[in-house]
Amino acid sequence: MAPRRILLIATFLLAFVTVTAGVAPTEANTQTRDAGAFLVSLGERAVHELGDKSLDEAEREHRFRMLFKESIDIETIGRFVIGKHWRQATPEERQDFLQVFEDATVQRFLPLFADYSGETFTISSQRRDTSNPSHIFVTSKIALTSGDAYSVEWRVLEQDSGYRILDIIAEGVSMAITLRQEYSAVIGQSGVSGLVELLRQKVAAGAFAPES
Amino acid sequence: MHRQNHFGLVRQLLAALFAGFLLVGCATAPVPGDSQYAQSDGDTTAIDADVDPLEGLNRFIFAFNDFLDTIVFQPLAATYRVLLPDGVRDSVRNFLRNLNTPVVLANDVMQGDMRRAEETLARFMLNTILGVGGLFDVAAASGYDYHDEDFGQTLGVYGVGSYPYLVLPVLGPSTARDGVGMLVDSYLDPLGYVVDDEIQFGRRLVSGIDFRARNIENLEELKRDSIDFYARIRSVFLQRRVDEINNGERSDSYPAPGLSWDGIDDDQLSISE
Repeated sequence: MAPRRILLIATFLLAFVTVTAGVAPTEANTQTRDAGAFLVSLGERAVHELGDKSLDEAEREHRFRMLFKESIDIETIGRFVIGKHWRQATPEERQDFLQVFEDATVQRFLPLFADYSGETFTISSQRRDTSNPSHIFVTSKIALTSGDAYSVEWRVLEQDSGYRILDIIAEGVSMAITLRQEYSAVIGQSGVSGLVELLRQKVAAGAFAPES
Repeated sequence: MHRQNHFGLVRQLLAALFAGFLLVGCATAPVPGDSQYAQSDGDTTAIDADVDPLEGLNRFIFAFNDFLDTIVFQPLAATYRVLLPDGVRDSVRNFLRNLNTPVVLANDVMQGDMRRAEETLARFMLNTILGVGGLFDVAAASGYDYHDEDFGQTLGVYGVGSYPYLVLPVLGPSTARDGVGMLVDSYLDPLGYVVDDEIQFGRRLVSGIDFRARNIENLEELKRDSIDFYARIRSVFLQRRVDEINNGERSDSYPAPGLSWDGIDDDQLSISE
């Protein structure tokens, strides 16, 4: 009788917890092989950077943030997440939101790379979005050490300068849509400035960092 | 893995049957804007549509459930996990899933998905005979992976949407469609006609606790970094259901960052304010 359905949500979490963590050998088709290779190499680089014990913590975090900003299109995601409120927001509110959104996301992802513990990440297929040729879907399987496996799809933007992640969809649950729907409930109550304030409090409290 | 077309007639017949039933059985008021984002298999996720007209009541029940979870289900699940080793818990889940076969099979068939129906049947035979009454999932090793179906999903396949969203006491997130589905499933379950209600209740309780036990950390984390836990759970639940209805297939036209979802569509999307 426990809220079984509620808990399906859990898989959503797993996307963040493990997705970026482990990197195993991959197979990719030739057409869009680079998008998959990009994800694999991103995982390897992040684990490597964070594992470099010769650097102090602040420096490691700084490097991770740089890598992160280069690989995830946080501004595009941020705009999508704010949705219709973006246009009504003042330039300051937009700026503030994007900054705190980046901080929250970095705080969320960093420990996942730092505490890699044997999950495997396998690219199963790649294809282009039929209506948006610059978008590539990369389908992957994340296998946990417990034996459970999850299907995770990545929407990746292809540009001349390289690839950038636009969305992560775990077992059908999109990170961007979830955040958009959650944040819009908050904005409806207290506006964009209220959302920014709440996110700042959470970041300051370290709430986004998973316990290790 | 597209649904096979030659069962189209069966589906049409069933759809006609269900249509009558739905008019009385559940509120399926159209959600403005829904049709723009209609999914291939019927369910819709208009991402900014208001699917939650009962939000005030739902939030209240959600808070109650959350409280109940904290004082009863979470501790129960944690104890269950400590007391029983992994292998035993897996067998518990395998056994309960095997028992649920008739419901899954009936819904596979009603959805016209004969391939999945065959899979369900093959799993039942293999696991019941070789898997010692369903305690071991030997079928998964032979390539017949477990899948879940319920009548809520069947209704979804026939086009019933997620409106309105409901939070049921104790049972958690649902929709009018899935609530009706749950009721129908209980009639589809032959065990319900054979064994006592207490046994059925116990079965659901154990299944719920097992599920909760597998997700202790996940749920904690989902809660901790949320800024509106209720809204987050609602979003995740509804997306999961669409994914289940579509059996994991996703159309390319799904809303996503980098498409024109943040600016031009405001007027079509904003229906609640």
